[in-house]
Amino acid sequence: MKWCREHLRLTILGIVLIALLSLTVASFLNPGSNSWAGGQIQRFAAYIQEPVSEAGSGFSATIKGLFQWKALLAENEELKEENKELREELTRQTLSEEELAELLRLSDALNYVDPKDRYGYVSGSVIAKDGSRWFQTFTINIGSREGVHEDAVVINGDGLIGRVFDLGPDWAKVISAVDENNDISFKVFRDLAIIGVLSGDGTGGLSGYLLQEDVSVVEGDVLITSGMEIYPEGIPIGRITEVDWNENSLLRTVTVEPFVNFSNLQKITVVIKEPIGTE
Amino acid sequence: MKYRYAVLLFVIAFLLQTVLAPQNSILGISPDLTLCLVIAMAFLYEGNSGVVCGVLFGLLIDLCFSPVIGPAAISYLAVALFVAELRRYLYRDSLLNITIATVSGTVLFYLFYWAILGVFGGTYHFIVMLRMVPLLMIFHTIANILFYFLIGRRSVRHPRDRHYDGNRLYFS
Repeated sequence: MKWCREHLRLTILGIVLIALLSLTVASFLNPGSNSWAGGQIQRFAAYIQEPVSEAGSGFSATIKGLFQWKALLAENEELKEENKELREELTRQTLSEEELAELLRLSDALNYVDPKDRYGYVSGSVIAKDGSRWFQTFTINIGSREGVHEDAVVINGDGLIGRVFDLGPDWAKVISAVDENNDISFKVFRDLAIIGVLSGDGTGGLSGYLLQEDVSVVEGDVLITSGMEIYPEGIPIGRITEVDWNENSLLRTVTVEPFVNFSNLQKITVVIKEPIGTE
Repeated sequence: MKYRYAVLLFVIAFLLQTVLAPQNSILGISPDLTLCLVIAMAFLYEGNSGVVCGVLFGLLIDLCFSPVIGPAAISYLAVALFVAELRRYLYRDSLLNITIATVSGTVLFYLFYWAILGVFGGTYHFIVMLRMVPLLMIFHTIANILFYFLIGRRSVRHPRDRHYDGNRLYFS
């Protein structure tokens, strides 16, 4: 005790360090189980971050609009053209009413339940993200009140983003698929019989292997989720950039570039297991 | 610096860093303004405001963004202690010394942060971390030089001072 009194600063420092290390170990052993105080702090932070984020987005968009109006006009024209082409494509691919009615009758007769009917979708915005870290975790402005739950899958228009790893009533923390060791089972969009497993490769991309030996994939093949893990079926993951043969494991390995641009995320959609109000 | 001013600066830095900076990042990287403040406070001011605010806001950052709570707080603590020690050897009214403190503090922070996350299941390669650090060193040095000129407490030298050397006020 005498030593502690004589070296007060060192003692305080030691206590703080031990407390922080204990907190780190505890949060590592019990991921996603924040204390009440932790939850309240995050809730308060989300309350402040949301309006600042909205104001910042508006300000940023205005400034960019002022300096990049020519590029925006060109982009607008391009999008109009693309929209027209997509509408024509949609018209070509729309089933006739008769065909649709026949399919519905058949599905009723077989008591078929579409797996997609088990999911609901909630949209939200990214309100905070720490861009100075090399991993991609961010806070969104929807939480358990909107039906979001732990491990709910997060997507956007480009494809798979990740999953919810912690949440409160009106906020949730999302970790991207590329940041994790968790396996993502995939199918190749060109040939849905080809399946494999992906995980984060530690450099901000994804890598994995095919489960079959005698199948061929090529660079540029699009991968989608297979629906075997927490991720529902059919979500675009990314494009194969490299195919290799691993002689040790005797597996065909692939390197994948994700479709999602993680540095510019604003609007997201959370896939929840059961839509609110349905049992 | 008084604690209430230090906390106010850290709140502003936290909001800028987490809400506004990611929307205006360069090459997908935005500066860690909380780290800049920790270094600036520890180097330019006596007292423990850099250490205390660093730990508190590190915890807040961990709570908001990290799967594991604690690595940022521990790393900020280490950086603040290192820079406070550096103050004993480097004259603080010098841009060159501020740059040295910022660069070494930034490198130390990311080494610590990467190592702690690595112990607790982080998946990222060392090279990925190193790829970000040079750009962050530049960002942080600019931020801390701006802080030094705008807010930092610096000695005002009188022209009659025998050490006064024309326009070379800050490179001593």
